[in-house]
Amino acid sequence: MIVFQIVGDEMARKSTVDVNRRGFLGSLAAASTGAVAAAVPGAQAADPVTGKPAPEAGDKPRGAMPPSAAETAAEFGAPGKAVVSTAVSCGSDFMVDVLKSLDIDYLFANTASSFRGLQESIVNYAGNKKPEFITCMHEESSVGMAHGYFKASGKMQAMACHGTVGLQHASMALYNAYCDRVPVLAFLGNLAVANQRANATDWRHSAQDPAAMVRDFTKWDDQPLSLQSFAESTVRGYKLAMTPPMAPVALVADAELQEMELHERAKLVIPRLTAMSPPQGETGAVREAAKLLVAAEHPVIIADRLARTQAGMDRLVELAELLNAPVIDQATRQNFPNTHYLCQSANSAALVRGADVILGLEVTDFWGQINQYVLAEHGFSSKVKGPAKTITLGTTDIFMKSNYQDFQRYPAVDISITGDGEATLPSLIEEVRRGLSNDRKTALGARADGFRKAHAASFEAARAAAANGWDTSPVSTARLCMELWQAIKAEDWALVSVGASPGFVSNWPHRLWSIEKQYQYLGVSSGGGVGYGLPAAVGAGLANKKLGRFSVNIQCDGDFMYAPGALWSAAHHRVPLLSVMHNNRAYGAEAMLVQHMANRRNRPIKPVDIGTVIDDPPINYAKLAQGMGVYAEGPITDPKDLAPALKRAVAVVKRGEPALVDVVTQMR
Amino acid sequence: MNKLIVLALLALASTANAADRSVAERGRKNYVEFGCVKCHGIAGQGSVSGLKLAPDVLPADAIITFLRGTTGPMPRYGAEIISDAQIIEIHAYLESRPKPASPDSIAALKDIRGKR
Ligand code: HEC
Repeated sequence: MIVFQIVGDEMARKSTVDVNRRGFLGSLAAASTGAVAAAVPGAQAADPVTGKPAPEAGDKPRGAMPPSAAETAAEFGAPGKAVVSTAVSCGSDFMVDVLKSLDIDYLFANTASSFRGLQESIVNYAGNKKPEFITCMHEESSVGMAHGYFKASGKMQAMACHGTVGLQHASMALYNAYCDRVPVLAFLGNLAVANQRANATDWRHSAQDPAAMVRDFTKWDDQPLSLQSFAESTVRGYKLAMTPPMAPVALVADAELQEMELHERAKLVIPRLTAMSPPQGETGAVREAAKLLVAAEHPVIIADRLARTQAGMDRLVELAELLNAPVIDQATRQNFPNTHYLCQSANSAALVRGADVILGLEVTDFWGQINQYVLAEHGFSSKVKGPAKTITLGTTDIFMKSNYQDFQRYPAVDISITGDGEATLPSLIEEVRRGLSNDRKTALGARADGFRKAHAASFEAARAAAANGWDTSPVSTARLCMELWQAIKAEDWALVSVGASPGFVSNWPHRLWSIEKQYQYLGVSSGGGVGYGLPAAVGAGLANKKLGRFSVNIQCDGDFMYAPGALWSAAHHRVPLLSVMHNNRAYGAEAMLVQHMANRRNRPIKPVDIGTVIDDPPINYAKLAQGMGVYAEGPITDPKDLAPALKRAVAVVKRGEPALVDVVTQMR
Repeated sequence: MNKLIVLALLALASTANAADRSVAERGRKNYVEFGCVKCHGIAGQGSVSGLKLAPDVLPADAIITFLRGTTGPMPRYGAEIISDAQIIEIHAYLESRPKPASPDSIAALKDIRGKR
């Protein structure tokens, strides 16, 4: 009998049932191999306590032979004494109750032994509802899907992985979520009590402190050692992750806790989740900022990860219109409707150069907005011509970690307002309104005309530019994006992913589509970790399925190959998602960067293709997708074939399934 | 006009065209092999990573001067990498590009103003 030294709550200590975590499965294994045990020499020799495998006869034929005790032990743990659970519940059922209390819809995971108890509770105890188990083919995809899901719906979801090998896979995606201020509830399977580890694999898949690996880029983590503390830590983790600045949290789901029998469920309490209130900027600082903005002749507003909801966009429109101030949208969220005359992202360089007041809203790299690297000088120069007053409003200062340098260079600004941008905008708007005299309103109104003209001119210039190279093959990115726009614009669409940057398709959606709702564009990975695009799109597609929106993903080829299995998850879970390959058969950004090196060193250009071009053999993405049960067409090289293919694919997605169109494209 | 003279003139014109075409062809090859295509697009249409080069192509000598001397975001091309003759061929390729159609004649670019 194993005593639960580590479990703090009364119930566990009083438990009289054999709670060897291997007991239950061990009995299953023993039952299924019962006949074998007699036939295979050494089968009974496995140590029932340590699970140490019995020595195997090296020359025994394998083929169709039933598994040896050693193999069974390696797979399932040592056969313990047959124990039939008499408990009505188990630890992981309670864990599911905790997830239900938080209204978690999905657990994204690649199945793994260290959370088998939790997985079984989800599929049987919960009937695979709230949370539903989403089968992922890589832990990086599990996080990426939860990442995309959140940005589409505003609802945090859970993922689970081994606290060791699974987390090693998941870590890059957690870093992306961290940089993107996106909450994810990550459960790490682990077996803390060493003498419970049945075999070598159990040891390898256990860690003393699993979350250490991701502590530098999660907001909080915990390793609760009782079910009661599991409940409290999970609710706390949820609250922390969802309070701006948002970020992932990691919670160890100890295997022992998952698999223990639970006799006195009533003694466990799941604390209530209190509604979260985002921190707001201090009134005095907000008032000072408003004064500067009202008095400014050339104010510029830069918005980064500002709009968490539609309200964020609406408030920014209100502020911009009050001031008649141009907005530069950084394309990490859709902060501002791109059809609005004050959307001046296309003219950002000139506007920043001439600005007298610059307001940064949730801008991670404010320093980089007002300074630029000059290659020829190997140094930096200011982007702003004259002396400009600078104001930042955001949550960066509340939460910052030391190791990874996502916090960017320190900006010395005139007013720094610490608070959530979206939550602080109403008071800023109020202060601006209060500070505006009628005369000033009229004066500010006079700016509108110039901005309307500039906005129209940028749009017309972009339209003309899109026509240039329209009929070329490989397909131009302008044609790729504009045929796509034609195919989806009648739907309630959302561009859920564009890979690492909308610049990879030369910003055509932002230049020429009408993006007027916050949910219509979900931004980028933010950490620059490749392998985000497809999983995030699938996660967002799952969220949008519930919300009745049509999801579209512009999928870069290099990114696709990191996590192609996400497409199978989309097929398996019937996620309606249109993926259009931007297949330039290269790692485009790196191809340019390595070429820069060759140019600088006066060396040949052609060898730069080595390691950056993906064309020998060319990858057939349609076949890959078809192999995973996804409707797919391509590779399309003749631009005339694009529109009809997209039309067919849209019809498939409208039926509720994923579809992919592979288009061979130009670099950008 | 004498029929023979006309025929001779036509023949001359077509060899000149063929010569232009082969220069432009070589220019296209250079344009791809020296990596211009990555940033400027196959039609010279430009992208976020490079300016539009065609139509309204800069004179060949201006392109040579720019490639040799740039210190901006575009990588500098020394004579060790690409010769003047090869740049002149690129110029011929860019000049050979057909004029782009008006966006109003392209269905997917026509009525897209929306609320603008
Ligand atoms: C890595 C990207 C890149 C590559 C490769 C590249 N260019 Fe450029 N090119 C640029 C950028 C960026 C600019 C704008 C430079 C500036 O603003 O100073 C530019 C500007 C130019 C200009 C000036 C256009 C104008 O109207 O001022 C010419 C001409 C030009 N490139 C030709 C070429 C040719 C020819 C090649 C190949 C031999 C080439 N480029 C390769 C990025 C690139």
